[in-house]
Amino acid sequence: MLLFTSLLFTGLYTGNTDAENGGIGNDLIDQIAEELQNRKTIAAAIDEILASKAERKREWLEALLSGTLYFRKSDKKVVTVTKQGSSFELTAASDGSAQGTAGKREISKVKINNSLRKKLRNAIAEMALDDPDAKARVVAVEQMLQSLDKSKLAAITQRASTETDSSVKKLMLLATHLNALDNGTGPEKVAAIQIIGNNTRDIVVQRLTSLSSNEDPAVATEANAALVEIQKRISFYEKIETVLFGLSLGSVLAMAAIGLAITFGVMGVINMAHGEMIMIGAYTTWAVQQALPAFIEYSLIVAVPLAFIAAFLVGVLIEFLVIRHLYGRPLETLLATFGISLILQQSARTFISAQNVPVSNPSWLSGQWHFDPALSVAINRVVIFFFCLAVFAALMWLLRRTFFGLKVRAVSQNREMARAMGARSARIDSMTFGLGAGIAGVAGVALSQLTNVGPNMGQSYIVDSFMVVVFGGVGNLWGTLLAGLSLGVVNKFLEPWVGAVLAKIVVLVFIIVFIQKYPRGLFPQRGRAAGD
Amino acid sequence: MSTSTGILTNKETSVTPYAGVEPILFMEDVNVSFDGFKAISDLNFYVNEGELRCVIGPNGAGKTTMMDIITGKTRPDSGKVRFGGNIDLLKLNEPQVAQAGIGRKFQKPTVFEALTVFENLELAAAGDRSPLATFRNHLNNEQRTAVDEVGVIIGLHNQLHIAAKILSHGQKQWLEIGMLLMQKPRLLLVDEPVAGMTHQEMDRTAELLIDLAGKHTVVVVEHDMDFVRSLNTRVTVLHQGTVLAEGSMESIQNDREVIKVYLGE
Amino acid sequence: MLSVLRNDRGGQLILSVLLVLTIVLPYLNLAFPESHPWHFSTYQLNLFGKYLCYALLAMSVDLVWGYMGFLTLGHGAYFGLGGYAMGMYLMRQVGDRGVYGNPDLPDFMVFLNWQELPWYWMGFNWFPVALIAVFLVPGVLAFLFGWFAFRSRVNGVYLSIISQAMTYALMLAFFRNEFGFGGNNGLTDFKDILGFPVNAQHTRVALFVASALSVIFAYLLCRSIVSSRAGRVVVAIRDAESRTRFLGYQVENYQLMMLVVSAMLAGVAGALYVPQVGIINPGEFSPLNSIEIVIWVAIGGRATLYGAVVGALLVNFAKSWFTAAFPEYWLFALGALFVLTTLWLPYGVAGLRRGRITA
Repeated sequence: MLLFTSLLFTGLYTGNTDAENGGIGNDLIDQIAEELQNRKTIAAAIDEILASKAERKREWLEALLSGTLYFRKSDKKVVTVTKQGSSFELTAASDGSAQGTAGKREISKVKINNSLRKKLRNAIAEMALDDPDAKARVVAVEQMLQSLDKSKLAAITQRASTETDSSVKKLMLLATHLNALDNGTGPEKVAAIQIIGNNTRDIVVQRLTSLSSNEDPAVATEANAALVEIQKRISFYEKIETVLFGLSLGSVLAMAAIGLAITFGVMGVINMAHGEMIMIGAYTTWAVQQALPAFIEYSLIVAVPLAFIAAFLVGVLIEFLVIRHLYGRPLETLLATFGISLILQQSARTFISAQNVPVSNPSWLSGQWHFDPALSVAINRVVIFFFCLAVFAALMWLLRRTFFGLKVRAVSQNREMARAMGARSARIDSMTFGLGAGIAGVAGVALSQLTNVGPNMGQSYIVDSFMVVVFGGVGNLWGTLLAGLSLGVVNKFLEPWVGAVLAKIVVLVFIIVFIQKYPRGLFPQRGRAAGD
Repeated sequence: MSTSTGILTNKETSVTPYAGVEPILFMEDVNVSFDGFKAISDLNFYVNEGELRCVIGPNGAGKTTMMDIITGKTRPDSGKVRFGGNIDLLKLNEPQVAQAGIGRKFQKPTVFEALTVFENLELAAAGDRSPLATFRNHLNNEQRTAVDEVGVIIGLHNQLHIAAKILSHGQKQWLEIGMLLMQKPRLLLVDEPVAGMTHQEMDRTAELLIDLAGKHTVVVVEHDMDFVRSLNTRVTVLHQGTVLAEGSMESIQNDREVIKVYLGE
Repeated sequence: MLSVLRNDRGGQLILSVLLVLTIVLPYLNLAFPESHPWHFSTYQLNLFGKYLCYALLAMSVDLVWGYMGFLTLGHGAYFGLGGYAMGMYLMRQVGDRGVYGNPDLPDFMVFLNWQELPWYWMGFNWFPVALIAVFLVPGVLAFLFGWFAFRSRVNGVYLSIISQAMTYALMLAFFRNEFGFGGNNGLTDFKDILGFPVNAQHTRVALFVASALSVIFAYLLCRSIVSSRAGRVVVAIRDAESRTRFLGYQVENYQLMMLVVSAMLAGVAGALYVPQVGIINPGEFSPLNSIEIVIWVAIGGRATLYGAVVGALLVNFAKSWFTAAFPEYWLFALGALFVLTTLWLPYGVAGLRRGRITA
């Protein structure tokens, strides 16, 4: 939406360069200055503008509509203004030349009432139908469709025959069909329904709903059939949306869990401070944005490596200070790392703030993609899904294709043997733990775009992450990914039935029972040794 | 199995039960696979009441898996496993197997480190094993005597009240055997009893096992050939999850198949 | 019953001190007026009573963690359920004295426009029913949990995290209004217990004495369990589970029995706690609460029982001092306690004396 509007505006002001030389008919505005000032004559003045062929016409109308068209008392010149502190900077409406500044009292605003405003809006939209940019034309037609009347219909149909862009043309034809629904005869209505009967737009559905009780039985039947069809389509799109929504939630779960899958799967260490590693990543994003306020657009790209490094270092430090001394005692490790998580949380509270910190979203992550009036997807969710896949792919590459990965896998399979073959397991452990923490940090960057960033944000992820890891099968990263994604989708499908909280409970209970039935998860590690 | 019988005469009699005598342990056509790997295939194995039997075989021959099947830890894919004539072991879980009269000693000595020798033996003592019964009951005189007797047998009668974790490796092995005796099992499964023992300890263990046979049925899984020889008893060779040969140590040592398996082709 | 303390020097000491305090503190509170220097304030007595509930809770955790080796991260659930059962009784005793004056429905139900009492609130105006629920509800939950978990031989870290997930799920559930337990705010604004006003001095003294006696009784019960042959079986399971199985013990039954007994004790602790603090809310189910209990036991020294009592009292008195003196830093201190205890004091305060763990 934002994108379209900004394009529209750039389109609007393309006239500027011509106007500087004083284009054709642009003097008109100053000639009718007096009329614009008078409440009784302003309507006629505007008609005069609309009828004219002035090049800057559209710009005037825009200014009128936004209330920036003024009249300079001293020389009766019509100007557009931009406010600069307490004074106004003036630009001549006729040729766009700078006219210096003026105080509030030296100028007066051209005031318009609501009916004029509506007229202006329609006029502008109609002009937009002639905009060279196809996207602007789409917006214009969309706007007109909302409240179709004879004049708009005429304007649209007149252009439909010469329209070259297919998507614009389709929309324009929709207008004629809508008109047929409103004003056509019975057979015309039926024909129109048959053509646009699979359109999921509100304006179509509204008309069909009212036609479904039409006195003409043929129309009513046709409308009803179309409504059923549309309903099917909408519910299908809703399912797709739920899946996509679930996939994005699932990628968050998977990303949060993958770091844990490494530390738990490879080292057998359960890191209860894992959620705080995520927190560190999220705070890194915040810190980057604080440090470089001018580069919010690029902040995430900077934050990803920094968050990895920050969490990696904290992870290595934790491993060195605590975990190293507790190998082979998983329950004690659990307790000690829980203590660390408390310390990290309280550090965030004490040294940064007990409140959540604001993290802004770059504009390229905002907005939605529209595939159909009934199907749109938030861009950040799609990006997060692919980001998750990218992180996963990078990790897989690291573990499968590098020497470091080889050593990690060796240590995970047989600590003693790997040591005998010369792998320095202490260092590998330290790096592995750092890697798990670092990935959690990267997950934190992604999460900062979806949820609040604060001292408590990590807490809720530890249980979830653990569930994902265990559900997928400990030691199996593919399992973790699939488990995360599928749990996300299941969760989103349950939500409309039972509500968000209950959905979470249902999933939790399901996993609890599942683990008790299949303690090795969906994709257990194979081999005889796994049985003991 | 039928495919390999007939290579050597000594096996033909051994893989079928002795005529007229009901074996105490009876395993027939047993198969187990883990993820496609056949750990046990068409295994037939019989042990008679009061017998002392040695089971040998290279690594991965299926010795421990066979023990797991008998004790209810692993469920076979197919086959029959019976104990004492009419007890279907495949329907029982580990504790039920134990209560039916089968005792098992692990490869790695496992005793209850936090408890004393006396308490270790006490827990093994035969009797009602439900939580309520053990909460209320104390040892009766008979059981107390049994503990003392077993203490003497395993040579720990002077260390009854020290914690098990202080014992030497060999003493832990004996304690574990002692615990088996307290169970009063009809069948003892002993997995590598002399691993990590000194020669002296080994000799004593051999004596102990020979002594036990007769009163109990004993199946010993062992790697140490000297030790097996010192037991001087019937030997079963497992290979790739099935019985390769069976007979006296002497005949086994001259079996071409066995030599091939042990020395490589 | 006292014979179980024969070889338990720590227990003898702790129970004697407790017994003396049970007599002396109420006496100092009741016999001397507030102005008298010997007066022991009702506030302090109430605080101590609350900590005794924690001590009971810690003991129940020690039973399963110390002796059975199941690091439970969900005992707050049993405590909370016991507390809610008592809270429901107390809520029903409010009668028509609530803000809305509805004699049949607690205030929060009136607020939610509920027309009648849900079935699971039936009978809770009757103390014996509440009392049975205090034992039964945590017991049944523990039974179900254990029945699934122990039978499928879930153990170690898995079991711990599942127990945490259980209490987490309960917390989410109890936060919901339509669950019928007061949502966010939980149950509060109690008036009477057994006809006595909850806030009166005498009631508080009685609750303190009840808590102290419960701790003493529970201690004797736990000690008699762990020093019986059944207790040794449980320790055997902790140290060598499959060995125990091959000795013919149905391991799951023992684990189940211990967990259920422990959950019931935790439920009793919760039930005694609620009238003393005057509120029960879903926060009691938070995973942090449950894991805090574990650290009390760790600090006191696990598998000793008296260590759990000492640890709970020690940490909580330290907490109330600390949060008054340096409110910002309590979580730092608690976090450090977790790390330092596991690294350098694996057998807790009790271990300082004995130097090693036994059972």
